[in-house]
Amino acid sequence: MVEQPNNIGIAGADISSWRDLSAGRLVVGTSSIQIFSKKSFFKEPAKKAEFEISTIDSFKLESEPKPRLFLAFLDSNTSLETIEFRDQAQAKVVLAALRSLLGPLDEVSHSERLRLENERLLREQVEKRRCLIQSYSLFVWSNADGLRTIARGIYQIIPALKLENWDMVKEQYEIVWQQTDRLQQSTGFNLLPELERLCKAYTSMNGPEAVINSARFLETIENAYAVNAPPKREWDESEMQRNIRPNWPQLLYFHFFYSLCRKIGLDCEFGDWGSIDGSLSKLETMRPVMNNIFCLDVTGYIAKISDFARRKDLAALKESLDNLDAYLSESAKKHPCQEVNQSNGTLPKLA
Amino acid sequence: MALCPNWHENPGALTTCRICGLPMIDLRSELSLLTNSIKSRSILARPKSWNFLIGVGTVGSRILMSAKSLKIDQIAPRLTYLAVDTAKIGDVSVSDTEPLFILHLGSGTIGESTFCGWGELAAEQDKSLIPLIDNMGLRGKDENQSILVALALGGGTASGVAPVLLKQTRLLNPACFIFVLSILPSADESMHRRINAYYGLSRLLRSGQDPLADGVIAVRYDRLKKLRGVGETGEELKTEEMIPGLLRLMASGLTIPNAARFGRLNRWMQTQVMTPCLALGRSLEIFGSLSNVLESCISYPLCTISKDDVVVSELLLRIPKRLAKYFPDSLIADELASFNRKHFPKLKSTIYQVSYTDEQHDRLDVCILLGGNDISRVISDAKTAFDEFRLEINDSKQLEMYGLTKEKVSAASAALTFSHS
Repeated sequence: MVEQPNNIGIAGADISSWRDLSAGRLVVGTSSIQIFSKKSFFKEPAKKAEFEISTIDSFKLESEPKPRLFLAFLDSNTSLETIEFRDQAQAKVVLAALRSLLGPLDEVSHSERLRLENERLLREQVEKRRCLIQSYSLFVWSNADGLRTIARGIYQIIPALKLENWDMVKEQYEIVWQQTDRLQQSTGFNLLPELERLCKAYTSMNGPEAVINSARFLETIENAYAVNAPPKREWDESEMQRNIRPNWPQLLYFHFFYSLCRKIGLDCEFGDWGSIDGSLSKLETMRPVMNNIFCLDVTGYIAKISDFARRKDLAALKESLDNLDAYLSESAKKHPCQEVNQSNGTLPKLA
Repeated sequence: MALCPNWHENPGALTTCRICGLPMIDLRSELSLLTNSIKSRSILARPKSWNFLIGVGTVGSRILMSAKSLKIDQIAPRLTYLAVDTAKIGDVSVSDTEPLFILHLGSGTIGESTFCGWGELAAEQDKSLIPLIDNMGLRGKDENQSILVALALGGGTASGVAPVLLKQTRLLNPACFIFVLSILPSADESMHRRINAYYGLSRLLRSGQDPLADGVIAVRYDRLKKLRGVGETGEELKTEEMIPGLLRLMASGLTIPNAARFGRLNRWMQTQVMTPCLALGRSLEIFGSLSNVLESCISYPLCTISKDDVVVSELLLRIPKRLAKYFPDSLIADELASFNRKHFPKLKSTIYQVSYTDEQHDRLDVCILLGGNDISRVISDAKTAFDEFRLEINDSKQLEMYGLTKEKVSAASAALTFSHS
């Protein structure tokens, strides 16, 4: 018996009539039904027809007057096939095989079959979109976390520069370098020249130059994120920006919130108590943004930062900032996101 | 139109989005403020300063401003300047290379603090003073940092602020050396100036604790007015030019790298108050020798002192470089020893520091700082005024008018009695 490599025969039966064929054999395979002419002394059986299992809409077996199988196809242009078996036993073997493959299609209507197929396609689409959103959100959060780590490094370098603690500067620079390299690979932005300038400023051990270049480095990164479009990926960026929060242009709000927290820490470290109140009020303004867009509840962290900053408790403030870091880092791993109600929004503009 | 964080368009004047209610944030300008705030701190990351020249109060700030013409930054390396006053200080530059911090206590519009208590309160309540000192670069237990303060203790700002300021510097670097050039009011000046001077000194020379200053170089204003001297151009110096001249001499000896020798000697001998004897622009052609210049110097001390009380003499000598060969160390040491023997029978230690100038004239600048353990003569006028004040104004409410409390007055009174009786 001839079999297709991907169509392993699971049942066979002798047929007494099919179209103009008076005798032959029907073979039910895993992917198709094949009809062969009868084997004779002079010639091998020849395949006369093959019907894909997936194209079958329904099947039905009639016992009287002779055992006959009716096959209906999803394509309405394909005519109904009638196959007559030699006896009842042959028909039952085929019926059992078809049922094992297709289920009781003889009991399911065509429209139901269509509905089920549509549902399956919809499920596939939903799953595909879910994966796409997840990838997008992972991409956005990974950039947010990269920005956070860089800002953290720079804001820790500044007091170290004041104290001429070059070991600390070197240690933090390595972190900044790694993160910048990662962001550069992820976004395709060319941050290398500014990174080299920063490295040069640190190796020169010229404190004031190093501070100015640190700030300039942050500016360069912020500009890169504000001006450049995100790299082309498998998703439609503008569609994502319309429907997903947080999205690419909103990254800088996350960065602003975090930098503001670190600035308060820096102000406390430098004893610049005069600027603290202004920064704290801005931090409070950012609370709904972090909640609404980034799905982060930073209320407790803001309260602690405000409290310790006002009490000039530098040690406790530093601990709060570290806790905030841990929370943001954990959140980045979970990369929370949400789809927005389009009726509530207007088209976002790419920066 | 402005965009909210959700990219809803809003009229520019709104503070929250009319659609989603999120705050309207000008992200660009906010981020720019943050980075500018980092940049503004660049000056604080300069290499650790060795020397600090601080002017407190109106007179102190004016003295500080003369530093540029005196080229103090060339004498004292790695110098940081600080001017503190309750009145507005002009935005002037004192150096082309070294940083100047200017701090107006309070709003800077109060003007002169007339009483030490108010000056002290202004310093204690000012949010910027301590952070500014913290960020000036004083740190560690480092003997390679020296602070030179110029002030007039008769003023309320100087007498009130300087102790607060120096207390913080001591906290930051307990090993640094602090010298205070202080103009004291004369007996005929107003009572409150003398009270201020006494109170300020009492805070600088704290009772029961290490003194804040390693040397208070006390100059009585009435004596200063009578002093005569010649400047670099050959013209006679005016009274207000004398103090910068003295400051320049002090900068050559009492700053890093030389401050440790003078500071350690003062600490060891417990001579925290020094009387300067100043001779500016003494021509060798006229005076003939160093010993004659020293004699000219001792003839008019700038504060009351008894030669019998002197236990330490410190010579600061500034000579033109071209005359250096005529002043070998051996000669200076011999002439100083001879001078000391002649004038100070109880002298226990002496020290000198020579600095050189590129000037082509033949004039020497000399300052001898004389220190004794008994400062009663130096503070006698001020003490009289303070004692009277203490007797007359004993009520807490009355003291409040002067920014003082009973405790502060008692502590001030005990401070100088305790350490030098």
